[in-house]
Amino acid sequence: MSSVGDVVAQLREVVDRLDRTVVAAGRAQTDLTDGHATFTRAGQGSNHPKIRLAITESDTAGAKAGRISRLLAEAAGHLATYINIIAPGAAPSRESATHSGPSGEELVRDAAKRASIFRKASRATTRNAEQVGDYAKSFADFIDAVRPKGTTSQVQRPEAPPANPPHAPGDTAQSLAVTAAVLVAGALHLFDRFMQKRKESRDRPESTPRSDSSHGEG
Amino acid sequence: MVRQAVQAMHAGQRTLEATATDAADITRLAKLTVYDSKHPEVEKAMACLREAEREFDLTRRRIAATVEAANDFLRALG
Repeated sequence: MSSVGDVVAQLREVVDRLDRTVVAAGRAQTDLTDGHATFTRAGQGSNHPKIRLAITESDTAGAKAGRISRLLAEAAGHLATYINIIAPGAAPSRESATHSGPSGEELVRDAAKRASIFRKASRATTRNAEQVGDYAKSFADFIDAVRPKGTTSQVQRPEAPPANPPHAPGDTAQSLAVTAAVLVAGALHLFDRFMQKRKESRDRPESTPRSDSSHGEG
Repeated sequence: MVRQAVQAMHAGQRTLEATATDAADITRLAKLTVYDSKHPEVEKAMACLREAEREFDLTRRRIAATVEAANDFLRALG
Protein backbone atom coordinates (compact mmCIF):
# COMPACT_ATOMS: atom_id res chain seq x y z
CA MET A 1 0.00 0.00 0.00
CA SER A 2 1.62 3.18 -1.14
CA SER A 3 -0.68 5.70 0.51
CA VAL A 4 -3.60 6.16 2.86
CA GLY A 5 -5.73 6.80 -0.24
CA ASP A 6 -4.88 3.36 -1.63
CA VAL A 7 -5.62 1.68 1.69
CA VAL A 8 -8.94 3.52 1.95
CA ALA A 9 -9.94 2.64 -1.63
CA GLN A 10 -9.11 -1.03 -1.10
CA LEU A 11 -10.85 -1.14 2.28
CA ARG A 12 -13.92 0.44 0.78
CA GLU A 13 -13.93 -2.32 -1.82
CA VAL A 14 -13.67 -4.88 1.00
CA VAL A 15 -16.62 -3.26 2.79
CA ASP A 16 -18.74 -3.12 -0.39
CA ARG A 17 -18.05 -6.76 -1.20
CA LEU A 18 -18.74 -7.79 2.40
CA ASP A 19 -22.09 -6.01 2.21
CA ARG A 20 -22.97 -8.18 -0.79
CA THR A 21 -22.03 -11.38 1.08
CA VAL A 22 -24.31 -10.24 3.93
CA VAL A 23 -27.22 -10.18 1.50
CA ALA A 24 -26.21 -13.53 -0.04
CA ALA A 25 -25.96 -15.19 3.38
CA GLY A 26 -29.41 -13.79 4.12
CA ARG A 27 -30.75 -15.48 0.98
CA ALA A 28 -29.17 -18.77 2.05
CA GLN A 29 -30.81 -18.35 5.44
CA THR A 30 -34.21 -17.85 3.78
CA ASP A 31 -33.82 -21.12 1.82
CA LEU A 32 -32.75 -23.05 4.93
CA THR A 33 -35.59 -21.58 7.01
CA ASP A 34 -38.06 -22.52 4.27
CA GLY A 35 -36.62 -26.04 4.30
CA HIS A 36 -37.06 -26.21 8.06
CA ALA A 37 -40.69 -25.01 7.82
CA THR A 38 -41.42 -27.66 5.17
CA PHE A 39 -39.81 -30.42 7.28
CA THR A 40 -41.93 -29.28 10.21
CA ARG A 41 -45.13 -29.52 8.15
CA ALA A 42 -44.05 -32.89 6.75
CA GLY A 43 -43.28 -34.23 10.22
CA GLN A 44 -46.53 -33.20 11.85
CA GLY A 45 -47.90 -36.16 13.81
CA SER A 46 -44.78 -38.21 13.21
CA ASN A 47 -42.33 -39.15 15.92
CA HIS A 48 -39.90 -40.82 13.58
CA PRO A 49 -36.41 -39.94 14.92
CA LYS A 50 -35.08 -39.17 11.43
CA ILE A 51 -37.69 -36.55 10.59
CA ARG A 52 -37.31 -35.08 14.10
CA LEU A 53 -33.56 -34.89 13.46
CA ALA A 54 -34.08 -33.24 10.02
CA ILE A 55 -36.35 -30.65 11.71
CA THR A 56 -33.85 -29.71 14.44
CA GLU A 57 -30.78 -29.80 12.17
CA SER A 58 -32.41 -27.63 9.49
CA ASP A 59 -33.48 -25.19 12.21
CA THR A 60 -29.87 -24.91 13.41
CA ALA A 61 -28.58 -24.57 9.83
CA GLY A 62 -30.91 -21.61 9.20
CA ALA A 63 -29.94 -19.96 12.48
CA LYS A 64 -26.25 -20.40 11.64
CA ALA A 65 -26.66 -18.85 8.21
CA GLY A 66 -28.28 -15.90 9.96
CA ARG A 67 -25.31 -15.69 12.31
CA ILE A 68 -22.91 -15.72 9.33
CA SER A 69 -24.84 -12.83 7.81
CA ARG A 70 -24.61 -10.85 11.07
CA LEU A 71 -20.88 -11.60 11.50
CA LEU A 72 -20.10 -10.42 7.96
CA ALA A 73 -22.14 -7.26 8.54
CA GLU A 74 -20.32 -6.67 11.83
CA ALA A 75 -16.93 -7.11 10.10
CA ALA A 76 -17.98 -4.60 7.42
CA GLY A 77 -19.10 -2.19 10.15
CA HIS A 78 -15.77 -2.38 12.01
CA LEU A 79 -13.82 -1.84 8.79
CA ALA A 80 -16.02 1.12 7.86
CA THR A 81 -15.36 2.61 11.30
CA TYR A 82 -11.64 2.06 10.76
CA ILE A 83 -11.82 3.77 7.34
CA ASN A 84 -13.49 6.77 8.95
CA ILE A 85 -10.77 6.88 11.61
CA ILE A 86 -7.88 6.93 9.14
CA ALA A 87 -9.76 9.12 6.60
CA PRO A 88 -12.74 10.85 8.24
CA GLY A 89 -15.88 10.80 6.10
CA ALA A 90 -14.40 8.36 3.55
CA ALA A 91 -16.71 5.44 4.38
CA PRO A 92 -20.38 5.67 3.47
CA SER A 93 -23.02 5.57 6.17
CA ARG A 94 -23.63 2.05 7.50
CA GLU A 95 -27.34 2.59 8.14
CA SER A 96 -28.66 1.30 4.84
CA ALA A 97 -25.71 -0.74 3.57
CA THR A 98 -27.41 -4.13 3.75
CA HIS A 99 -31.09 -3.22 3.61
CA SER A 100 -32.71 -3.85 0.28
CA GLY A 101 -35.68 -1.52 0.86
CA PRO A 102 -35.54 2.14 1.89
CA SER A 103 -35.95 2.90 5.58
CA GLY A 104 -38.45 5.44 6.87
CA GLU A 105 -35.61 7.87 7.38
CA GLU A 106 -34.50 7.45 3.77
CA LEU A 107 -38.04 7.98 2.52
CA VAL A 108 -38.32 11.21 4.50
CA ARG A 109 -34.93 12.33 3.21
CA ASP A 110 -35.93 11.55 -0.39
CA ALA A 111 -39.21 13.40 0.04
CA ALA A 112 -37.33 16.42 1.40
CA LYS A 113 -34.98 16.26 -1.58
CA ARG A 114 -37.90 16.20 -3.99
CA ALA A 115 -39.54 19.14 -2.16
CA SER A 116 -36.27 21.02 -2.45
CA ILE A 117 -36.10 20.32 -6.19
CA PHE A 118 -39.67 21.61 -6.52
CA ARG A 119 -38.78 24.78 -4.60
CA LYS A 120 -35.81 25.34 -6.92
CA ALA A 121 -37.99 24.78 -10.00
CA SER A 122 -40.56 27.14 -8.55
CA ARG A 123 -37.92 29.84 -7.98
CA ALA A 124 -36.60 29.35 -11.52
CA THR A 125 -40.12 29.75 -12.91
CA THR A 126 -40.53 32.95 -10.89
CA ARG A 127 -37.27 34.27 -12.34
CA ASN A 128 -38.34 33.31 -15.86
CA ALA A 129 -41.74 34.93 -15.48
CA GLU A 130 -40.08 38.09 -14.19
CA GLN A 131 -37.76 38.01 -17.16
CA VAL A 132 -40.70 37.65 -19.54
CA GLY A 133 -42.22 40.70 -17.84
CA ASP A 134 -38.97 42.59 -18.32
CA TYR A 135 -38.76 41.56 -21.97
CA ALA A 136 -42.33 42.67 -22.54
CA LYS A 137 -41.55 46.01 -20.92
CA SER A 138 -38.42 46.55 -22.94
CA PHE A 139 -40.34 45.52 -26.01
CA ALA A 140 -42.90 48.25 -25.24
CA ASP A 141 -40.03 50.71 -24.79
CA PHE A 142 -38.56 49.56 -28.08
CA ILE A 143 -41.87 50.10 -29.87
CA ASP A 144 -42.16 53.56 -28.30
CA ALA A 145 -38.69 54.38 -29.52
CA VAL A 146 -39.15 53.19 -33.10
CA ARG A 147 -42.78 54.29 -33.44
CA PRO A 148 -43.13 56.56 -36.46
CA LYS A 149 -43.68 60.15 -35.38
CA GLY A 150 -47.16 61.50 -35.95
CA THR A 151 -48.95 58.21 -35.43
CA THR A 152 -51.19 57.87 -32.44
CA SER A 153 -50.78 54.25 -31.60
CA GLN A 154 -50.87 53.54 -27.90
CA VAL A 155 -48.66 50.81 -26.65
CA GLN A 156 -49.96 48.87 -23.73
CA ARG A 157 -47.33 48.42 -21.06
CA PRO A 158 -47.63 45.09 -19.37
CA GLU A 159 -47.13 45.06 -15.67
CA ALA A 160 -44.29 43.02 -14.30
CA PRO A 161 -45.44 40.08 -12.15
CA PRO A 162 -45.23 40.66 -8.42
CA ALA A 163 -41.90 39.47 -7.06
CA ASN A 164 -43.48 37.59 -4.17
CA PRO A 165 -46.99 36.51 -5.08
CA PRO A 166 -49.08 35.97 -1.96
CA HIS A 167 -49.91 32.34 -2.85
CA ALA A 168 -49.13 29.11 -1.17
CA PRO A 169 -45.81 27.78 -2.51
CA GLY A 170 -47.60 24.96 -4.32
CA ASP A 171 -49.65 27.46 -6.36
CA THR A 172 -46.74 29.70 -7.19
CA ALA A 173 -45.37 27.81 -10.17
CA GLN A 174 -48.79 27.39 -11.76
CA SER A 175 -49.93 31.00 -11.29
CA LEU A 176 -46.58 32.31 -12.54
CA ALA A 177 -46.76 30.07 -15.58
CA VAL A 178 -50.19 31.53 -16.35
CA THR A 179 -48.84 35.06 -15.82
CA ALA A 180 -45.91 34.30 -18.09
CA ALA A 181 -48.23 32.94 -20.78
CA VAL A 182 -50.41 36.07 -20.59
CA LEU A 183 -47.34 38.28 -20.84
CA VAL A 184 -46.02 36.36 -23.83
CA ALA A 185 -49.43 36.62 -25.51
CA GLY A 186 -49.44 40.36 -24.76
CA ALA A 187 -45.97 40.76 -26.21
CA LEU A 188 -46.94 38.86 -29.37
CA HIS A 189 -50.05 41.01 -29.71
CA LEU A 190 -47.94 44.16 -29.37
CA PHE A 191 -45.49 42.87 -31.94
CA ASP A 192 -48.34 42.14 -34.32
CA ARG A 193 -49.72 45.65 -33.88
CA PHE A 194 -46.26 47.09 -34.37
CA MET A 195 -45.80 45.22 -37.66
CA GLN A 196 -49.21 46.35 -38.83
CA LYS A 197 -48.44 49.98 -38.03
CA ARG A 198 -45.14 49.66 -39.81
CA LYS A 199 -46.84 48.24 -42.88
CA GLU A 200 -49.41 51.05 -42.80
CA SER A 201 -46.71 53.67 -42.52
CA ARG A 202 -44.89 52.12 -45.47
CA ASP A 203 -48.08 52.26 -47.52
CA ARG A 204 -48.45 55.96 -46.68
CA PRO A 205 -44.91 57.30 -47.00
CA GLU A 206 -45.94 60.96 -47.01
CA SER A 207 -47.18 60.78 -43.43
CA THR A 208 -44.02 59.15 -42.07
CA PRO A 209 -40.77 61.09 -42.02
CA ARG A 210 -38.69 57.93 -41.42
CA SER A 211 -40.21 55.88 -44.22
CA ASP A 212 -37.21 56.19 -46.57
CA SER A 213 -35.14 53.68 -44.72
CA SER A 214 -37.93 51.10 -44.59
CA HIS A 215 -38.51 51.41 -48.36
CA GLY A 216 -35.09 50.02 -49.05
CA GLU A 217 -35.92 46.80 -47.26
CA GLY A 218 -39.28 46.27 -49.01
CA MET B 1 -43.02 -32.53 0.94
CA VAL B 2 -39.82 -33.95 2.46
CA ARG B 3 -38.22 -33.88 -1.00
CA GLN B 4 -39.26 -30.26 -1.40
CA ALA B 5 -37.63 -29.45 1.94
CA VAL B 6 -34.44 -31.25 0.85
CA GLN B 7 -34.39 -29.15 -2.33
CA ALA B 8 -34.66 -25.98 -0.25
CA MET B 9 -31.71 -27.19 1.85
CA HIS B 10 -29.67 -27.80 -1.33
CA ALA B 11 -30.55 -24.33 -2.64
CA GLY B 12 -29.44 -22.80 0.66
CA GLN B 13 -26.23 -24.81 0.52
CA ARG B 14 -25.38 -23.63 -3.01
CA THR B 15 -25.85 -19.98 -2.04
CA LEU B 16 -23.87 -20.54 1.13
CA GLU B 17 -20.94 -22.17 -0.72
CA ALA B 18 -20.72 -19.26 -3.14
CA THR B 19 -20.89 -16.84 -0.21
CA ALA B 20 -18.17 -18.75 1.65
CA THR B 21 -15.86 -18.55 -1.39
CA ASP B 22 -16.49 -14.80 -1.72
CA ALA B 23 -15.99 -14.23 2.00
CA ALA B 24 -12.67 -16.13 1.92
CA ASP B 25 -11.45 -13.99 -1.03
CA ILE B 26 -12.53 -10.80 0.70
CA THR B 27 -10.88 -11.87 3.95
CA ARG B 28 -7.59 -12.40 2.11
CA LEU B 29 -7.85 -8.96 0.52
CA ALA B 30 -8.71 -7.40 3.89
CA LYS B 31 -5.69 -9.07 5.53
CA LEU B 32 -3.37 -7.77 2.79
CA THR B 33 -4.83 -4.29 3.07
CA VAL B 34 -4.62 -3.87 6.83
CA TYR B 35 -1.38 -5.86 7.04
CA ASP B 36 0.15 -5.55 10.50
CA SER B 37 -2.49 -3.17 11.83
CA LYS B 38 -3.23 -3.67 15.51
CA HIS B 39 -6.07 -1.18 15.52
CA PRO B 40 -8.98 -2.47 17.70
CA GLU B 41 -11.50 -1.98 14.85
CA VAL B 42 -9.32 -4.01 12.49
CA GLU B 43 -8.87 -6.75 15.09
CA LYS B 44 -12.62 -6.89 15.75
CA ALA B 45 -13.33 -7.07 12.01
CA MET B 46 -10.82 -9.90 11.59
CA ALA B 47 -12.28 -11.77 14.57
CA CYS B 48 -15.75 -11.54 12.96
CA LEU B 49 -14.39 -12.85 9.65
CA ARG B 50 -12.65 -15.78 11.39
CA GLU B 51 -15.84 -16.58 13.28
CA ALA B 52 -17.88 -16.39 10.06
CA GLU B 53 -15.46 -18.82 8.41
CA ARG B 54 -15.96 -21.25 11.29
CA GLU B 55 -19.74 -20.86 11.04
CA PHE B 56 -19.64 -21.64 7.31
CA ASP B 57 -18.12 -25.03 8.20
CA LEU B 58 -20.63 -25.72 10.97
CA THR B 59 -23.58 -24.74 8.76
CA ARG B 60 -22.32 -27.02 6.00
CA ARG B 61 -22.30 -29.91 8.49
CA ARG B 62 -25.81 -29.09 9.71
CA ILE B 63 -27.12 -29.05 6.16
CA ALA B 64 -25.43 -32.40 5.44
CA ALA B 65 -26.91 -33.87 8.64
CA THR B 66 -30.37 -32.58 7.69
CA VAL B 67 -30.24 -34.05 4.20
CA GLU B 68 -28.94 -37.37 5.49
CA ALA B 69 -31.69 -37.63 8.11
CA ALA B 70 -34.36 -36.69 5.53
CA ASN B 71 -33.12 -39.36 3.11
CA ASP B 72 -33.07 -41.96 5.92
CA PHE B 73 -36.63 -40.97 6.74
CA LEU B 74 -37.73 -41.37 3.10
CA ARG B 75 -36.05 -44.82 2.93
CA ALA B 76 -37.73 -45.85 6.19
CA LEU B 77 -41.10 -44.95 4.68
CA GLY B 78 -40.25 -47.20 1.75
